[in-house]
Amino acid sequence: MRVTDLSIERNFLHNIFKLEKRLARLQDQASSGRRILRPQDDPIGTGRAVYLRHDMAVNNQYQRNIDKAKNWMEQTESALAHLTNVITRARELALTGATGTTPPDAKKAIAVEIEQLWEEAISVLETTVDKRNLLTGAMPVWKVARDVTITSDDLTQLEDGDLKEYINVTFQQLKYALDPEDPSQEPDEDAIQQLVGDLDDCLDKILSQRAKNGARLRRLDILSEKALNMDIEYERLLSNVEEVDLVEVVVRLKSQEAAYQAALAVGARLIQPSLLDHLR
Amino acid sequence: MSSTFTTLEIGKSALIAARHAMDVTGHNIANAATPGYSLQRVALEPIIQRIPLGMGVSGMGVKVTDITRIRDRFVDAVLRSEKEKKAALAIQKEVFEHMQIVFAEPSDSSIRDSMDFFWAAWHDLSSEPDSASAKAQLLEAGRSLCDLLRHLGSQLDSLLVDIDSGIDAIVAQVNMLAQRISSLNIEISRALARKEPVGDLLDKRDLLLDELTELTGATVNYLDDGTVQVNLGGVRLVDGAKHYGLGYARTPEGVKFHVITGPEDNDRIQLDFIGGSLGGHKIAREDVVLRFRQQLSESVRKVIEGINTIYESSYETDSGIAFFDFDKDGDILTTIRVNDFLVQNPGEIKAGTGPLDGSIALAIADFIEGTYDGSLVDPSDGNFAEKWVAIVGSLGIDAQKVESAFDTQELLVKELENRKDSISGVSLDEEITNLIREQHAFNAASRVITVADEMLDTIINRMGLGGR
Repeated sequence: MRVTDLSIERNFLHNIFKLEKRLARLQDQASSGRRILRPQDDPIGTGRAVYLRHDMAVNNQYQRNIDKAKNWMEQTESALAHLTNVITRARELALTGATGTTPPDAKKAIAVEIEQLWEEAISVLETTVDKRNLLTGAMPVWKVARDVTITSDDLTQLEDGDLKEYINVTFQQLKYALDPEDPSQEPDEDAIQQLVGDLDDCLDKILSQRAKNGARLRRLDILSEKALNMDIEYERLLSNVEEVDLVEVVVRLKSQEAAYQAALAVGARLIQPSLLDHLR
Repeated sequence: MSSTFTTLEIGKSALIAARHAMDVTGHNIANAATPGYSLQRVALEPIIQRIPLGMGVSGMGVKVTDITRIRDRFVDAVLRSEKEKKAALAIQKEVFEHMQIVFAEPSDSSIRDSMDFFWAAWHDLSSEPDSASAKAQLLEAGRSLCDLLRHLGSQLDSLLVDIDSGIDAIVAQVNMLAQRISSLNIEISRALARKEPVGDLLDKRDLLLDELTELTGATVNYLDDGTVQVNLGGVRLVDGAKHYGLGYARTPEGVKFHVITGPEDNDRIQLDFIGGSLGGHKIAREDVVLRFRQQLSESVRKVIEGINTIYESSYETDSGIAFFDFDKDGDILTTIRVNDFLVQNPGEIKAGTGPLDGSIALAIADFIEGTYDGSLVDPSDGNFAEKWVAIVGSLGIDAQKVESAFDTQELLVKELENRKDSISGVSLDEEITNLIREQHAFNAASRVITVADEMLDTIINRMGLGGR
């Protein structure tokens, strides 16, 4: 086969361009830190990278939703804790009022405080957050994972009636038992005794609701932790798919560089001389 | 018996032949880098003279019978058909590269990213259905999604415009080439009739043929009278001195090419196949840009229509308004926007049927995410991320296929060009060797003349002087 000057030149350029293309790609990878710059660099990897980014966005939103739900449940818990304090205080006062040694005036004073506590209890029951009643009424729904939707429910609706109603009735009775509407009547100590029992009952009910709320909070905590772990896992996977191993790139860059230098040196030796150099 | 001056004549013929050969060598060296140049060689032949009186034949020197052009038509044909394929792949590769930039994956600024924001905004609204900030955030997410979709649509459209203007330019170029080839046909057949050397004209025509076949995938027939026919998918484009026009029409089914043989409509012969760069443009246009555009707008349309249907169900009456507006009979990518009423009145965005109900917002989010379980729309119309990944994935795979096919083709073309060069190319070392040989031949011929001269000198000046 005749080898002409043009074909030597063509082969030389072809190889140089090929090497330069590889060098440019390695340089792109090294400077961007990314292995996949276009879908064609790794179509399957691209699909995974895109999906992982999507999954991360989804997971972030679920985390936001979990935080919102947790915030709600925590506010619920603090409202219920406050209600517990109010009723415990009412019970203590009722116990004082139930003894005969407490003079009627003092009982009246207790009745006044009971009324205050009653109002406080009602206001706790009617606490609103974001225009929603925290313990009663329309509850928001949070989607906290792809297949988990969580909502609170109306915590005042119990199996045996309405908690709000029950508290209302108990406090009303307690107030009138301590300070009868008819001034001629004496406070009814037996009734007070019985109402203390009712308050205990109330506390039990609230406690069971707190337990329910607490269980939901714990569930959210678990979900939150899971979502956080998923986030780290997604980051790790994405970096595996998308990012370059710098050591590898640098090593490959070095070896390509050597090949490039060699190609240039050989090319220079091939192109330069001709028969003319050796003729007198 | 030959004449006394025969030796001089032989020497002269050798001098002329050597000069001629040196001219050709010089021409070769001068054109060593000329594109399309084929190596030329002088064809030498001994001059034979029959000597009268039955004394046989005697050599009378050398003559140049022809200047031959070294070229292999088979290699030409193979190279042309491979170059044509390379040209078709080159434009596809370029368009794929552009498409991948347009789709902007993998990155944090793609349509997918924007859709995820939009999806998240519905989530935020679902847990705070009457929050003004959640509504404003949703509106912004929706608008930026629309902006991005319209931007992508217009980028794809301008890519199409680029391809179309490429087709325009190539068709004009093809027509110009066809015309020049036919006029070279005339020149060559005339030169042949006058027995003039045609090597350089043939090179010129072959170069044009190379270009024409690379642009269109045409095939070339060499005829005995020195002219060529050019066929485009079985239809004649150049026939000796005649040439026809290449035209095309843009139809909804794609670009259709035809050869114009006369002024009437039925003088247009439709081409079933076109290759080369032009064919590559057609594939890039229809099989790359339009196909992916179609896939994307179908997926987007399904998702957007589904969102609209679910959103409208938040209104109790049938007069509900859609969340997105777009041209229902036209192209969704370039016409999509958030409903103008909602843009003006973000407070009117509904998340559900009541003021504290976020169920519709959640249903829309679930629909986009692919977990919708209602009956208003087909859940499989949603799940945008999956559809997007499928589109981007197949874009990547197709681009990779085209690129590797192009690389292979490039290598093949290079090898064939080397093969063609090994036949028709100029090797400077070889030409210089020839030159030296020719120089020696020239010197030797000069010596023959000198010797003959001395001989004649002896005969004329020194003979017959005996006894003086």
